[in-house]
Amino acid sequence: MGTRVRNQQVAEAEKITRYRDRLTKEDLLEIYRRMWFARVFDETLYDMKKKGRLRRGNVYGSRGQEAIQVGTSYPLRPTDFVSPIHRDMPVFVFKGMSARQVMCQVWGKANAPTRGKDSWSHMGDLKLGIIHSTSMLGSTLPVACGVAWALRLDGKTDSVIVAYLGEGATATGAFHEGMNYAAIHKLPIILVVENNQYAYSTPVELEVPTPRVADRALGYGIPGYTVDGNDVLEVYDATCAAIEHARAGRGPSIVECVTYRLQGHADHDETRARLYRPVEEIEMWEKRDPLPRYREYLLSTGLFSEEELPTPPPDVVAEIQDAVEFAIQSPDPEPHTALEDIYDESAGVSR
Amino acid sequence: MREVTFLEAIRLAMWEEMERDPNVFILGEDVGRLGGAFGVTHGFLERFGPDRVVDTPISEMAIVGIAVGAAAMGKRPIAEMQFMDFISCGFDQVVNVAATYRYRSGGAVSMPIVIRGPSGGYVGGSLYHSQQFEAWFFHVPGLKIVQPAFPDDAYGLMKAAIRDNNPVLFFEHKYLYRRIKGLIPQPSDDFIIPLGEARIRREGHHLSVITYGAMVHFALEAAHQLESEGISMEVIDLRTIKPLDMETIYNSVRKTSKVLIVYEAPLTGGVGAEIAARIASEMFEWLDAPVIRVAAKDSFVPFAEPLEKFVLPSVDDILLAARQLARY
Amino acid sequence: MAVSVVMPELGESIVEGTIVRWLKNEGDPVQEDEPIVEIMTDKVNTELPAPASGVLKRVLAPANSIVRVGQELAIIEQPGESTAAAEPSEPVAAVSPPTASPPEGVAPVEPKRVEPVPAPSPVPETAGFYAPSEAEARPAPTPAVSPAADGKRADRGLFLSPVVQKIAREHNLSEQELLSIRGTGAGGRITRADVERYLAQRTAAPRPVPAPTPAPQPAPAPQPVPAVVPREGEEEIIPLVGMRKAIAEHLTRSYQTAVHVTTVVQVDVSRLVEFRERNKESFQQQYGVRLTYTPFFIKAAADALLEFPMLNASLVDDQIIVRHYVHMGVAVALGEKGEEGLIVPVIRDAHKKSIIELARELEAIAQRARTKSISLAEVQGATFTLTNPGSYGALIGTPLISHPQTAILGTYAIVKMPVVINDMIAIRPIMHLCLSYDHRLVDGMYAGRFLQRVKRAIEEFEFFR
Repeated sequence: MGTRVRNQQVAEAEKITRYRDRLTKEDLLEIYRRMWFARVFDETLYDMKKKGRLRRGNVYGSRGQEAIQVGTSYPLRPTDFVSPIHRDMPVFVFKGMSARQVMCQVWGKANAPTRGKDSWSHMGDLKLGIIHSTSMLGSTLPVACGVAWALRLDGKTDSVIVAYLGEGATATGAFHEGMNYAAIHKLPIILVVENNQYAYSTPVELEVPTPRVADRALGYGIPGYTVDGNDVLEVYDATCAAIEHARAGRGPSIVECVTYRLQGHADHDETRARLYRPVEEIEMWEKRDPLPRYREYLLSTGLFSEEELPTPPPDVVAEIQDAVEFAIQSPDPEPHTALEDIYDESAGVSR
Repeated sequence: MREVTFLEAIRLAMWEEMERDPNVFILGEDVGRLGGAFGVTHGFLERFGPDRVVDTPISEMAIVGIAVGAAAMGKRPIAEMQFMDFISCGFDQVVNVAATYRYRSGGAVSMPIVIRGPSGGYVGGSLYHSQQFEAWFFHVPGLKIVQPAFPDDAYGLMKAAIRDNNPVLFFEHKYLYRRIKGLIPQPSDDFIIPLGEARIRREGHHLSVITYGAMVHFALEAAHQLESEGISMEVIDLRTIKPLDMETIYNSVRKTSKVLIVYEAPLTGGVGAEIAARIASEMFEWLDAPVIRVAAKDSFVPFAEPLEKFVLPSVDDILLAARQLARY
Repeated sequence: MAVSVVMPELGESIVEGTIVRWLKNEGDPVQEDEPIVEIMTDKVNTELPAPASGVLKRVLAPANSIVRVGQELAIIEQPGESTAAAEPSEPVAAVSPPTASPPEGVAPVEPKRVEPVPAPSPVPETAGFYAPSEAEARPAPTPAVSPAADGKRADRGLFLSPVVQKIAREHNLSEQELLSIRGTGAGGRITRADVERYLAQRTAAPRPVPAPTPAPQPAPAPQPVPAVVPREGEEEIIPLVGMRKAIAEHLTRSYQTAVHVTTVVQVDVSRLVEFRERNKESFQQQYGVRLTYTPFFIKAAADALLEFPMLNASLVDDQIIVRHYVHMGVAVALGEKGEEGLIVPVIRDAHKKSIIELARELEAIAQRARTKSISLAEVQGATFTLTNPGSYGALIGTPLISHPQTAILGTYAIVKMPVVINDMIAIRPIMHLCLSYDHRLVDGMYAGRFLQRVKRAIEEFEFFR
């Protein structure tokens, strides 16, 4: 098995407007901060798991994919929607949920968004524009189409939806049915494919037959971008282009962000993830870590001093530590609440 | 009151709800231009426009999934399965996405969806246009299941299903669509039949038949014949399959002490199995005979007439079982 | 403070792992996050970091031992801590090879799901009678059985369906009685309808019943083992058997079946009291029986019941049996303090009997009840019951209906009370009449009118009328 570096084709990506040029210094710093938030979030939970402070549930790491989480969510407005998957935990916070709420969800506490009913990323808040996802990857794309349809019926035509999927989930029937419908009706959906090369242990060439995952867009007659998923500003540019397309009523796009899952599928997979993947491949991608890359870029602009770019920013660490302690001290759900919320027995007439 | 067919009762209920509430919309295969394979949405597209009467691609997963997303946003979608057999293609969206949504949102999101379509046999529909799949969903928390037998019930239950805040599977027996006529109230009556209430369609005191869907008509026909033999059979039309109206069932068991459960789906693991189990555990001391089930044979629904007749339950099957039970 | 090193959950399905080796020895200083032990599971080979800095005080799970998720693996003592403090638990013995049972100190995970189980039907006291014996027990019957011609049990053994057993128990049907019922079901089985038909006939026209059967005390046979252990010398356990059990079951059924409502009226019994005081001695001499108030109350009630027959009716299934005769049950307490229970002898056709006849019959039957020489027939078939809590000074109460009767009338203590008569306060002997009735059959006004009728009969009492 040789080293596969699929993102060499990134250079062939469509010419994309440099939306990054409109970012201010504050924007650039906030992007930096958010990338570190994602990194510290990930490291903290791995640590908690190993130390036995987090005893239940899997931790699905996103180390190495921070540029996608930040670059795709940064252009969004409060009225826009996202449907994050298991490797997008920081997106919940970027879209308005508090770090405390997210940690309570991780710990399965009574005050979590799901009240301890479901785990990890299976939460949402439609008031914040976060659509709830499930473990059946791909199944949320038709749901996102439904959200878009509701927006259309309500005449809210300037909202867009960023839906996240891994490259593996683009093999599902739900993906096809959702994309097909979205394309037919020109729904404002930006499908972000986080191509991290592996669906659990299965490599992308056993999931997708075309050279690029974004080639799937050809079948729907919609734009498909393939960008370096470890370059936050490149991700940002492509997302902005897709959003502009959607807001103009021209329909969905696929934004494939080529990256690499530096960790195992989840925390339990660390050992085997180094067996089903060549170590050189992992080491090569370690060198493309999006955080140092972005920091070097910021320094090269001459706008920032070393001191302005701490690794990590202490307020990020403090926010996450606070959230963890808050979650651990939060109450567990009462057993009987397991039978609540199965049905809604309130009077169900909408008018 | 208006005299209408079973099909027209369903059509009018949806029409009037769409007139009443702009949040209600319908989507499915051929529901717009064609007006539905059976004509249940005839005239809807012209009245309500393409945003509220959506001709979808052949995509059951998307049909249900879109309904889920729209419902989460406060809409009240009606998703048509062209035949209920095809719901298998959208199964994941029904059981893993729609049914669970409220639970996994911690009670924050409601799922006012109706998934409806024609089901059932006796029409030569063969394997994929004849099935009764209610038992698949009976097992799933979070769902409700309705199968009416008469136009007034279909009308009142459809309105209740549209106004309910949970995913409701609405099985319309295609054998009844144009065969059965009846009176329904005027739109101004705002007539609703609450989900979860069975209806005693015929009183009797020798034995109780518990059934739903087309089998209600078979049971009534059997009860009529048995009357001349001196056997008085009570016929309970469940109308709502989930949640079950156990109180009405138990009261009837207290009265007759003999129970016959009739359903059109294959015998094994059917809805009647659960009813029998509950009667056995809750009503044991009221039983004067074993609980008997009449259902389809554990087979598929075949095409050729002699085959279909052999597999599906008949009035004669009900008569035979009822006589044995009465004599027991 | 000592900090525990705990076996973390390393995957959804992982419940245990094996200690590969300790990277630190007991007594070694450790830094937080420094790997201290290597663990192997089905899914993972991993090193666990120290949760705190300090000294590895004690290793509780040696190399090669199998440890469960959540199990304590080692103790780290943090700086400044006394060695004597918090002696850790005993080290876990190496469990190798793995065994089915969890290591000591680890609670096995019990499935928590508990199915609600309906209470088993009570085993009748006269065991072996309702329940078919091993030889008689049949497999689940198939319905394809035609009725036997002779209507007897034929070769089917005494198979009684659950509902027939239940009805038999509720009505204290003896085996002999059950055997006498003609079964019309498959193979001559006795059906629910058969038993109900029999009971309806029995109620309507009481049949002669076999000789008095004082509640059969079963041989010292298997008594249920008390579920509670009594406190020595302070509590004792008495099994629920015999009359007490019959009363318990009967009253439970009555209470659960009838919809009880109680209505009370106040009766001025001046005339009655005066009459009794004047005549009790002569009455005794002339008729040889003590003059009590009860015969008057029976008479008043019986007459009123003919006018208000719904209070003398029974609701059986969806049929109302209305009677134009009165079999008056009269509750008689047994034992000095009532500790021996209660029996309700029946005065048949009370509406046809005079005060004197009622007084005589009442005395005789009460006597037989107290001496337990009463026959079964004499306690069956009541259509209405009179109870007299006044005999023990009770002022007011809510009597319990005796199913399947529809009402019970309680006569309470006669007490002198101030009452207003013609806007003046007078002292009169007053009694409360309390009627409990089954609201399913009888409405408030009907019951109230009945009470007024009884009240008037008592207040305007004329012996020779």
